[in-house]
Amino acid sequence: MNDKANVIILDDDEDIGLMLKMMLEFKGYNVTLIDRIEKINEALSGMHCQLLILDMLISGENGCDLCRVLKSDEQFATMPVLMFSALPDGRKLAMAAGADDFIAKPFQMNDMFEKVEEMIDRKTLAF
Amino acid sequence: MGKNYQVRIEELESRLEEAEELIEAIKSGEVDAFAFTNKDKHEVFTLQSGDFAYRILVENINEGAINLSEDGLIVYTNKSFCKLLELPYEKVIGNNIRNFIHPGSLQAFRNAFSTSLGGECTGEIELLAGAHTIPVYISLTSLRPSLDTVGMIITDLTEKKQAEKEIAIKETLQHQLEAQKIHETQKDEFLKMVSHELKTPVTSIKGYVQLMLAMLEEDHGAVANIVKKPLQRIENQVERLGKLITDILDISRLEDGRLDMNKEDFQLDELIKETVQDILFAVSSHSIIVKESFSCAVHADKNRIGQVLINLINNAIKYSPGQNKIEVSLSPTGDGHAAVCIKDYGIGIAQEEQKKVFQRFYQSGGHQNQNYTGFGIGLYISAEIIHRHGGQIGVASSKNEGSSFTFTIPLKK
Repeated sequence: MNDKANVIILDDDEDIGLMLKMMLEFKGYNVTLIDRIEKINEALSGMHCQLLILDMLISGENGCDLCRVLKSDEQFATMPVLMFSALPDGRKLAMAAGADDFIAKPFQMNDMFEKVEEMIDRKTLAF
Repeated sequence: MGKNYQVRIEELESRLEEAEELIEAIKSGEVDAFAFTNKDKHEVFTLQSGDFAYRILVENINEGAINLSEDGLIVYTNKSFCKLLELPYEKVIGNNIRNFIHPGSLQAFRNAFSTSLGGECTGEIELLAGAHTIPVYISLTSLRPSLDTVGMIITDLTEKKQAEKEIAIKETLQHQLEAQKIHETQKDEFLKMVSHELKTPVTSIKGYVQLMLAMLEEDHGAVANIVKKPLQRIENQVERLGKLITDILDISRLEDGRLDMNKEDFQLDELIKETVQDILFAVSSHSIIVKESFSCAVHADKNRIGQVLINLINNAIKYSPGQNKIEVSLSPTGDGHAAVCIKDYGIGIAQEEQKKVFQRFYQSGGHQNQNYTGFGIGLYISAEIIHRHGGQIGVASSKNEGSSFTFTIPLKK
């Protein structure tokens, strides 16, 4: 378990964003919640982000596009991205966009914890 | 003598005039032949070289060519027109043209015919040839002043119309296909929207409830003890709601043939073990035992097969209240398949109901049975998933003795 690892959540749904933030804070992570794609640069510049949890539909914009941009950017290409969505073909879309993993809404809290922990650990081991 | 010469000159002049008139007549086409009478024989010279080519042309063209009297009698017809009507020459010649015109076209023809008496006219009408109609293009020309008849050229439009019809059918089909595509896209968009909009609040409620339960886990205070139970009930209900939404969306996609199977290689025995463990994590009322197993590699949609296992085990739990044992076994069938059997010792299914349980919206005991709620679509979806994998699903059961649901899927080749 990697306490105080930095996680950014990007979701425009206030309820889900807040719920996820509380969950991960409960597990000991340092969580930044943003609700718009434009805020990602500011969020990323202020910290070493160890995991981005990214919603697929954000105020009419596409989280997959952001994922593609980040994965093609040398600076952020290795930052793990966990996408989540309630769309029926969410997993397919997320994988096509280069996301490292995907979790379907609604999810089990424990599944979310497992994925987050595994992705941060995997990344830490890679260093 | 002088008078004789005068007479002779006048006679020659008169003959010269006759000859000039004759030449004019030949030039204008009024003369078809010359007839000469000598002392011992008559000789006829036709002007074949002049109109023979035209006759051949009119006789042999593909188009029908006829000549009509002012009251519509056919006074001349070429072979093509007879062929078009599928009638011998003698049935056509002398007949009235109106007998060969479709009643629906008669008025149009009459109008065209009267117009043509003063010049020419064209149009499209339908002819009658026995039992069928022939669409034709007609071109009418008055042959006045030479003849008091109207010449008519008839062009068969059957092939042209057929081609037009085929193009129209093709276009209609194309439009229908496009409309269907648009409809499917719209339906897909609608399903996506419904899926997203229904699942989002469920995600939120479920997340908060699970988080609260986790926060209260170590708390044994009075308030915590009071709220834990209701929170667990909310969690169960929201879990059910989430499953119903997934099932309804699955049914929609199944019926459109668009429930994708994402096949991969995996160990079925491990999936069974994991699924049983996951269910046991949330269920304390029953013990679920993996009674028999073997190392079993399959090429299938892992999530969907997991969904079938969860459906069957949850059904076994639901329909065996008061009993606590559920057995799961995995065995080879001997014909390249793996068989998974889920056995409970519950209420069982009557013989006459066993075939119906895989039907959509069917529920044991009917919808009036308040003890067992649900849409009755879990087994229908499970059966569809198994069939899509080339497997079989069935049930063996006795009333009040329990049920065994078995499905097979092909082993990895």
